[in-house]
Amino acid sequence: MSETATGENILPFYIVCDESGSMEGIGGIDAINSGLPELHSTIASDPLVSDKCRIGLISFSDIAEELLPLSRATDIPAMPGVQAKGVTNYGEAFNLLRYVIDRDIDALKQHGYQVYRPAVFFITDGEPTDDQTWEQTYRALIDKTTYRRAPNIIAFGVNGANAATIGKIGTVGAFIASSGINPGNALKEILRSLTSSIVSSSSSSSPQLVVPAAPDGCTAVPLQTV
Amino acid sequence: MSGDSVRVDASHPVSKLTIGDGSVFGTNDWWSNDDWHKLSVTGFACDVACDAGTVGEVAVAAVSIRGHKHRVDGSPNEDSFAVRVAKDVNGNEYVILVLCDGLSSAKFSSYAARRTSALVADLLQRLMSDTVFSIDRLKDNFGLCLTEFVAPELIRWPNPSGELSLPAYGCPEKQSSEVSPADLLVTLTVALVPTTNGTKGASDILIASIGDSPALILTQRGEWVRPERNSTDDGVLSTATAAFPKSTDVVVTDAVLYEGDCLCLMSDGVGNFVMNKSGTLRLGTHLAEAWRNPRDLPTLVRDISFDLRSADDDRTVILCWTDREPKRPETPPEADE
Repeated sequence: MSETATGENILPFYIVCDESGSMEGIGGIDAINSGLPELHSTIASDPLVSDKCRIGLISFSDIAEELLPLSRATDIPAMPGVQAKGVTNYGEAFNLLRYVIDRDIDALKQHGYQVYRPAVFFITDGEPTDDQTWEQTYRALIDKTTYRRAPNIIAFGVNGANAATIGKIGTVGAFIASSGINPGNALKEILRSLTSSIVSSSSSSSPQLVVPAAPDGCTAVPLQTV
Repeated sequence: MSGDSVRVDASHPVSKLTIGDGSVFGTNDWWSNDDWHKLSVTGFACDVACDAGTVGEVAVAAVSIRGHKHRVDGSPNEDSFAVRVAKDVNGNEYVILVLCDGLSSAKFSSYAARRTSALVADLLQRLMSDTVFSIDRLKDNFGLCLTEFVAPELIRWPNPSGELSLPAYGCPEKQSSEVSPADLLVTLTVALVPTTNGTKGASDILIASIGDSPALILTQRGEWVRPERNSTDDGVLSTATAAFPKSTDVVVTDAVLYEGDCLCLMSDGVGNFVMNKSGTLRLGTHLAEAWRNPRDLPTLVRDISFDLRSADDDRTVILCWTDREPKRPETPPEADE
């Protein structure tokens, strides 16, 4: 531990966003790219939230990419955007997520920070294309008996996402956009809901992930075990 | 009247204590237009509360300040403390120190912290005057005493009757039967300290706690020691804690306080930044030096008002110095061969 450790408390949030090709056609990419700057601005302007939370952004399609390493909102000059491409490999996202969580918590602890359990917002518009393998990777990420840093996950699904799959991925909350709702509009609401969850979670003096109410146009789905 | 009858001691300013980079909240004055420091709508803001005094050979100071979170929200301080002095029938005198930290999830935790700390302190004072009182009996029956005497009183207040019925001293504006114990959850940390040092300058003290408000000993060597049981590192920080009245599972710890030591009860708004499982943190290092000797109240308030990023909870400490006029060497004494 650093000799000058302050013991500052950190609540890490990871936004894991589907950028598969199908997101383009439904207006999903535009919705995400216009919502992320709003999220950033809301968090950066709150004195308690900006001090306590860190945000990271991961996108996934054929592969997963870390678009924004875990950062304090006030240190982010501008939020990066997502770009439509490829298919929907959930396993790639969960693999990268576990690697990133370990790396980030190790680094934060090394600097003397005290880190709360990470929170993940998982957003997708479709069923996994790596149907055979993602569940195993997912299990390794969320099993608290074998992985002490297992994150709490809130999952959101729009358009072609399947409610049962979304219910499997969310560990503390899962929501699916109602049929007939424009997916782009649903994603805008999801980002608002996600922002409000980050603000409520971080502004508590005892930080813990606050599961939001169902975003407008979405309904909660029951959580299922994998 | 003398022309120089108003003087300012420039050598004694109440300056700001910043640990690390400091918080965003700390960049603003409380009266700034950002409105980050709102009055409490329900009263009892308790921005600063202090008690200080001496009894026997000990000096006690308690300070509580409202945290950033509650200032931004315009809600009251949810920490509270109570200090009493009591003698048992054999003439042994003790100072009773009680600290409560209301859980943020509990709707009436501010009231519960004030009420519980006072009730527990009053109960101990009364028990000690009983002819059958002994520290050992108290240790064995602490939880039972809380269940029988404190919990029923905590959930009892004058019920509102009629339109203009006023709540008594900040109690919930509801029938007591409508309030769940889950709305009154607090951590509880209690210490009983003899007011005179024992033989060879050592005193047996009792620490009893429910939840995560720590009791630390600042030794005469300037080291922080946690006499209570310690949990192991579970990989990530947790907010889960036991709380009264849901739990009356009291962890009782015997400890020895040596002449020159200072016993420090803290809410986690302070304790989390003094030491963690890896050791003493930067604030802890500062306070270990600052609190080796009794300190005047404005400076203690300044100490507790430290500015440290993410430290936005209410902050309360009760300090009990066993030596009012410590004569310590500048450097720690050599260990015995």
